[in-house]
Amino acid sequence: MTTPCAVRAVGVVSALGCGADETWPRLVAADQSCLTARDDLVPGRRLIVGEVRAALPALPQRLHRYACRTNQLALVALGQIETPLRDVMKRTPADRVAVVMGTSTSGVASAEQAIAHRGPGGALDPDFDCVQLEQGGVAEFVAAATGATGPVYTLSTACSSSAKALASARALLALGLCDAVVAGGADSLCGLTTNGFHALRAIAAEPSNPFSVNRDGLTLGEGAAMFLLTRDPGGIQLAGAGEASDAFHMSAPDPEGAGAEIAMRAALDDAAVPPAAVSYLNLHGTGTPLNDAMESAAVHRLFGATLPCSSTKPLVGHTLGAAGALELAFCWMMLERWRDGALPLLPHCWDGRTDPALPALRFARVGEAIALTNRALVMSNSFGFGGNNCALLLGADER
Amino acid sequence: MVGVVVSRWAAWAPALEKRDDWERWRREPAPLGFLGTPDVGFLPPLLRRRCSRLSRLMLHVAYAACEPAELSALPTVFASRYGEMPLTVSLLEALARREPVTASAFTHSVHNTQVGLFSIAAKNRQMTSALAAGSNTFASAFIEALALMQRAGGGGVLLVVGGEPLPPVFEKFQDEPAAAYALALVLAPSGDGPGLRLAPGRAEAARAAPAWPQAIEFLRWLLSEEPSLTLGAGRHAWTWTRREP
Repeated sequence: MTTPCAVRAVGVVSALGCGADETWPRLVAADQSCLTARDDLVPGRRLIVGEVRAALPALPQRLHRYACRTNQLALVALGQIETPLRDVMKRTPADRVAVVMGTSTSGVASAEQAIAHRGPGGALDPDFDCVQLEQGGVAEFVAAATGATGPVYTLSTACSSSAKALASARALLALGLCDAVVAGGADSLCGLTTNGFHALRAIAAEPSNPFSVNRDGLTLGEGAAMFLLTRDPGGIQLAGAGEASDAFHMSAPDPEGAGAEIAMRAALDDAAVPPAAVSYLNLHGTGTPLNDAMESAAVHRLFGATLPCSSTKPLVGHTLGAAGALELAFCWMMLERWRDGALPLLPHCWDGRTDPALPALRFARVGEAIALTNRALVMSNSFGFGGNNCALLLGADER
Repeated sequence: MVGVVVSRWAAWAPALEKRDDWERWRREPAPLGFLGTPDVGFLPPLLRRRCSRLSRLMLHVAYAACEPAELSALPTVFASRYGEMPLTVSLLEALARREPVTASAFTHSVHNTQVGLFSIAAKNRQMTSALAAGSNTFASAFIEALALMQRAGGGGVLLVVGGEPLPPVFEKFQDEPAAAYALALVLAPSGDGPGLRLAPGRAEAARAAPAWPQAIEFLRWLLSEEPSLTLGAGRHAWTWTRREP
């Protein structure tokens, strides 16, 4: 696919903060001080989580029916791209602007409250609306907030949701079905996912420690990232996307990482570049024994042991449906700060204890930058329940 | 405007299982029922046991629409407005009682449950997508199918849309005809089958809300000789027209 797909603006909110300026210094310092502990999510268990602690704005009154924490997070990220979006919408008919969102929980936290506090006769809180629980509600909300009336939909493929939303958005531009897309994802901490991952015995006791011999699971988080994409050349480009399925198991990845490898290869083919053209890989890196084992195998087969890699999940938690867009936003911040032939890397945050059972990867360190001229390409991996894999490539020419 | 061919289709609703049933229904369309479940005897017993009614509805039509060789070969989008709502409600009720949820129930409550089960059952390693878009779910899924075709570099794609009524606790939010149904379309860039074009439409052109789901209204139109169909809700409408082969 050769149609250009420019990343015109990115908005981001996570445990590391609101916006790139607040997020970046903590990201490159591998600062875990933003993680907090919550006792109220899983009965009888204290969980370490990547919670957004900033006060979130209320939704405008006219959009009250969409009120839920996930949409509040989406609104924060959306606010950061408001000016460039308004510029694009001045020149683009509203029906040529699409919205493609990724989420795995939507506003299920609101539904938890509504179900738990039913009134006499089972009456639901009048402020609850089923659209808060619908996966499609996030895209509907973003469309209503921005005025976009082109294609509007949500993809919900668990932990690869918003990565696939970006891949889909890029295809809509290539098909000519729209001229601009607001694409991204949002997810918030809730009882359903925390108790669900607890039941799967997937949650770590300490902050997640991906690829370590001591890793024992993931840390959950929340956040949102919004991208404004247009069919323009230049700048930072969404240069490739690859998707594939494991066809293996509903909640465990293929141990060989076959689907993950197909997705990464497909992204390279899509951008028409060899593996050696990639300068950095943001790993899915959840910290669960199974993910990290299959991902190291797949990455090692494709890239060997020299490509700088890291997982940023120990800093913000696994933000589930938002993770693909959020981590691509972190990659975008890297490329934005590529200056004078030096590309700063996102450090891998762990205890440094290599697992001898895993094929070796080359983990980026705090403060590290690599010498790079001409063209930079960085990849981000997202793998979801049901064996749903997506790899995205961001590219930029020398700036 | 994007062109596409409907290579094959399959649909299920209570008492409407075979093509002849649907042809008869097209001549005298009526609201669909919401009781009953289609057969999924083609699934191995272990997978069959994990199938909710929505999964049975959607996998049944997916298998009925595909040629055997296509099952593992087509990129696939599964779409439903509400996903596994009955299971989700039972999980929310367990949480409200501060009871543990089971790993299996949680795993099978995700929106991509059906496409995950399909990819496992059909050993399909192609790209898959799971979509929701409120009352525009069918038209949006059709667009995502075109986007999937683009991402896969051409060739056919499988589109499956299904739904069932909301559970009683959310009954008051049921703003579409309550029906248990699923529709599968095998779409291709060219080849045999009716050729269609999809373009943005005008919501005013949409017929008064039919008494059956949009996916089934699309099927009614596909089987008819009417030149165009506009489906829409809110500010979003899409128009399909027929094109010469």
